Formats: sequence, C-alpha cells, structure tokens
Amino acid sequence: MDRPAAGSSYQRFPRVRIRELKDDYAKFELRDTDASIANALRRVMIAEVPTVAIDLVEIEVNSSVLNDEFIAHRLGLIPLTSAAAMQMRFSRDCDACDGDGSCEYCSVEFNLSARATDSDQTLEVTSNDLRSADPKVCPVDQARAYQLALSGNDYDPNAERGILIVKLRRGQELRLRAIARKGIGKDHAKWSPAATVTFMYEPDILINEELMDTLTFDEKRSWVESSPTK
Amino acid sequence: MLDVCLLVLLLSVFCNDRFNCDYSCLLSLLNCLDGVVVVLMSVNHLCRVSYERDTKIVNAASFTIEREDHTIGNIVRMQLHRDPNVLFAGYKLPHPLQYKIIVRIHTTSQSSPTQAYTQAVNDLDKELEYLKQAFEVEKNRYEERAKQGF
Ligand SMILES: [Zn+2]
Repeated sequence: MDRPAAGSSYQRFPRVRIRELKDDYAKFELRDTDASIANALRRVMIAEVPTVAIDLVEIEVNSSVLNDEFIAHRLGLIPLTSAAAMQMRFSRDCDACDGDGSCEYCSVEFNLSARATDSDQTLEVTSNDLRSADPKVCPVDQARAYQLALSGNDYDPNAERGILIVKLRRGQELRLRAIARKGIGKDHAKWSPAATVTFMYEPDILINEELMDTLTFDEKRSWVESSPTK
Repeated sequence: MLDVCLLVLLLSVFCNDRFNCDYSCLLSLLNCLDGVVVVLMSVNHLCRVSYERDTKIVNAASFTIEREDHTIGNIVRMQLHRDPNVLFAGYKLPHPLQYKIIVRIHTTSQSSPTQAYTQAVNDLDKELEYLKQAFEVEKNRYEERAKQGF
C-alpha cells in the first residue's frame, strides 16, 4: 500500500463564524475541523478556564439562622469578576506565601459586616455587602451596577439587589473575612465560568425545488410550520 | 512547603493502609482530603509524558500522560487517525480516580509511535493557535458589524 512519507503535516485550518455575541451568551459555527476539537473546547470552557471565587472564610460573628459552613458555601458560589484571573497565581504554586491567602499574587480579601438593628425589618445580607480589597475583583452584579452608573443610562437601583446570602432578624449579626482564590471548574464547580456549554452538528438542508413547485401555497405554509426548530 | 511535604507523607501512609480496599473507601478518602489531593497533583510535576515500547509488536508503544483526561486524549487520538502511517491509535482513562490517560499507538515501519505522536501534538498545537487567531478576527468583524447596526 502506498503511504505518504512520515513527518508530513496533517494540520487543519478551522473556520469560525459568530452568530450571536452578548455579554453572557455566544453562539458560533465551527467548520473544517471535527467534533473532538469542539468537544475539547466545550470541556475546557466548563472545567479548565480559571476564575476567581471565595475559597476560605473566617467567621468572626455569626448569629444568623444559617450555620457557618452553610454561609461559607453560599459565599463560594457568588460569581466574581475574573478578568484578572489569568494574571493571578494559583495559591498552590505561589511562592510568595504559604497559600494561606495573605498575598496579593494569589488571593483577594473580602470583608462582610452586617447587623440587623432595625426594629421589625429583616435585613437581607447580599453580595453587595461584600467589600473587596481589590477593585478588579468584586461580585459581578456590583461591577455591572457600577458600570451602569458610570454610563448613566437606565440605572435601576431596585434591579441591582445583589445575590442573597442570608436574612438577619433583629439583633442578629454576621461578620466575616473571606479569601477569594484562583481556581478551575475541575476542582470545584464554583470556579466554572460557564453555566452550560453545548455543541451540535447542524444538518445541511437542501430543498428539492422541483418537488416544492408542485405544492400549493397552503401546503408550502404547512411545510414551513412543521419545522421543529422554528 | 514543609506543610505540603508533611501532607504528602501523611497521605502516602494513609493510602498504603487503604489501597487494597474497595473504591468506595478510596472515594470517601478522596472526598475528605479534597485539598490534599490537589496539592499532591501539583507536587507530581516531574514528568508529564512517559513512553513505553511494546515488547511483542514493532512500532507500537504506549504514552502515559499525567494530569490529562478525555479533553486531550480524544483530540490526540483523532489527530493520529489522520496520519495514514498510524495503524492504530486509541486512548483510555484507566480509572476515574487516577488523573492520567494512556495513548496507545501502532504505526507502519515508515514511521514510529514517537514521530506520529510528536507530529499529532504539533499539528494540534498549530491548529488551536490558528483557531484562536481566527476567533479573534471573527469577533472583531462581528463587533464592527454590530456597531454599524446590522
Ligand atoms: Zn500567594
């Protein structure tokens, strides 16, 4: 059998066409490659793109109805702006500290302090109560509110209420220090930057125009109506 | 750093005790020592790819890639399939708790497993670099069009 000499390249040149691109949504076509590449991209987007999330929580006072680990878990799930994640170090690779989160290269400190003093009102502690030590890393809705306020258009303070962490009754208090670190979705889903990533083959549909000409207008209409992706 | 060494030592002692027991036991061990396992993985930086020739078949070999999974395994396998000198290429994840894959390659006498493997990885590297550029160009084009109100 005739085979080409070893050492020749089998590189492909994939083509991309973006169909939709929003702040939190993207849809694109990928051509001239195969499903293994698309699947690798999907898997990397879910599990290997680094982000920043709260990882260590030191609770000073917690007299709320939720226990300490419950609150720590909820804090971890709050999405933080992660544009700076690529420049950050993983704290396990950081030689400027012992990974205890006291270093600017691998961690960002947050503080939260809330106390319900108001008579009968329950106090809602949200992600907006988190105070970040680094303005580059903060809860995403804080960043969005800030950007909207800057641009000055349709800023609605009621729409930006933040993510609820816990509700406090009169006299209850929550005070804590949290350390956010860089991580990947493979270690914990809280570091996954995407809600979901999927891909699919799309059928290449060719319409038999000759046969289509034999249909009446109503038949054509019902043919269009029958499309499952309409 | 001392802490890390201590933890690794502790875990290895722990594991020696338990390695002969069933998976559920190991799983619970992993669950309770989540952080430690992550540390263990990064300590094991030394060699990511090792190569072992087949003793019975010429031009056949297995590559063990540490700290990789289906993401890499499947694209390497598919890229190897594009090489006509590769007679067989497959990968396996030996165990879900072992963070490594094994890629097995069998080639014709014109090529060799190492050559085919290196070529496949280089081609993938170039393809993904090209894809990255293409995506950036397309993103700029799309945003330019959006600005013009399409
Ligand atoms: Zn550090």
